Amino acid sequence: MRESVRVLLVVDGLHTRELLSSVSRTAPLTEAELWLVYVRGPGPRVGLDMVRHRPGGHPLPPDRERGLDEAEAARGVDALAEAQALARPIAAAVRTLQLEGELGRVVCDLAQVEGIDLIAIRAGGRDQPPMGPRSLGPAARYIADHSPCPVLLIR
Amino acid sequence: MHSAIAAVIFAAALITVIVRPWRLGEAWSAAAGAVLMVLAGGVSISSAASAVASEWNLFLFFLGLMLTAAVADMAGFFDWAASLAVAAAGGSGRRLLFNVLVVGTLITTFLSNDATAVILTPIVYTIATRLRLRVMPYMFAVSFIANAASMTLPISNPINVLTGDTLRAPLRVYEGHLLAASLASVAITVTILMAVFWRTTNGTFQYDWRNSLARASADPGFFRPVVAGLFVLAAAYVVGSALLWPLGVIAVAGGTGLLAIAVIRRKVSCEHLRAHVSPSLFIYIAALFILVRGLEDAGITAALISGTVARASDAASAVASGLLGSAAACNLVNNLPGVLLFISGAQAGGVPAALRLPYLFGALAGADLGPNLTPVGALSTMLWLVIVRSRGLQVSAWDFLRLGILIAPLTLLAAGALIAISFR
Repeated sequence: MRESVRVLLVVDGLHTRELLSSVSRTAPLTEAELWLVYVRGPGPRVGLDMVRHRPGGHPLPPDRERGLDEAEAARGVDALAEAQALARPIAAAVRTLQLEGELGRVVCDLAQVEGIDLIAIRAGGRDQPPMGPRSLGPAARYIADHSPCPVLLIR
Repeated sequence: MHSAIAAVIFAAALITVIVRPWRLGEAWSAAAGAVLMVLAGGVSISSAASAVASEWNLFLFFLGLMLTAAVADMAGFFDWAASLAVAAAGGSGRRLLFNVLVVGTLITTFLSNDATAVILTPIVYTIATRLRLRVMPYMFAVSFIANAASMTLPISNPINVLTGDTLRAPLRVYEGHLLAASLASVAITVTILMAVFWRTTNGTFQYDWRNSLARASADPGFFRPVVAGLFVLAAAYVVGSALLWPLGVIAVAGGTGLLAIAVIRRKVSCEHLRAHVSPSLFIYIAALFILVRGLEDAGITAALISGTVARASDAASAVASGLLGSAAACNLVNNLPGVLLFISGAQAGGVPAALRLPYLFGALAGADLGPNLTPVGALSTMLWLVIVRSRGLQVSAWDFLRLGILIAPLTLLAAGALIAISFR
């Protein structure tokens, strides 16, 4: 029987300090095992292909493709390293994971398999200031709908 | 009967191009439509051959552009330009956004909007990703500026070359009518993008730009002659436009010259050539010419265009008709077939001779700026975006559309007004 609570924090590399601060105010992390998860989703790359698409267009040259992969992986490593450094003083144990796939699905699957007790995620995943009422980003909405455990949505 | 068959085949081919059933490439859908048009008697074989052959300048221009882009990419020119943008940003995400817009404007002006969209985009994506900045503002910037700056020179957009072959307007006349409109559309686009992304690009970054610049120009023996060649080619484009030389010949001569540098320096990369030189694009364009010739022979394009220009009584209203008509067509069916319909109709006598010039300049502006309503100017992308969004991917599809709705009407309005004033 596990004694510590497992909290999964979805790290986006942009709001790490605010996310950790909010989570630590809401959940007692000093006794918790904090899982920092960064997911390389297909979204931005799909956006890139959309912008690039031209009739008769070809895939990128292999060196460019490699460059993109390396940049995406490095972004995840940096984001997790920063999050880990910030989380160590406030959590009992910290674990980092970089995964690939659709963010919502990957996080829910992981939570199910690993017996996560709480998922914390930024509520709005949009890159832009919303012009209409603020709602949930698609990933936060998916997790809120499909999570096997309680979800903390952070504004 | 003839016109009904031609119209049905054209519509079916375009729908197939847009919907892309079974992930069928645009080139093959359009080619099948063109073959069907010939088999159904919508266009004779000789007329089809003449429709394709008469556009040799555009084919050469595309070939030249592709070769130029491939060699410039092999030499690291685009990476170097992007590294300069990062260096000049001094660690500010906002300044980087502005610099990306400036670099995008320059590359579009001298190397065409396709070079910006196809080559600069992945480089900017890589940099923004590596710097842990929000990626999409920079993607939007490249995408929108590629269209907004594409009126600046006759070579800034292949559409301009296509329209220019019909207009036969020297550079002085071209710039007299379009330069102010182009500058205004760039200024409006930059202002809107900076304002919209002001808050979301407020991050800072640290970047070893010296190392990045050095890496981009790692082989000076290849990089420097290529950069010099690009400057010579840009100058040749300007001179050629002024003297009404065929721009396709200049583009191919420039592209071949640059390729020769790569061969001499033993730097030819087949992977880059394969990625940048696309034979299927030629099939797509040739098929579109045949399809539109079928409509033209049936009298459909002249009737369509005379319908859009029917209320035009002076230059200003002719500019407005051409601008709005082609902007709408380009967003419905992509800009190449859209503008082809307008040129064909104008050539077939659908526009009164006195209004032909303002009408075609308006149509050119509509075809260049209109696609910003949807970033790639195609209904297919919008449909596809909706599908992707429904799967929960964060592509910011509606952000694309919202920005387009903000940028495209303003740039079209400003361009239309300034072009109309230029005819006073």
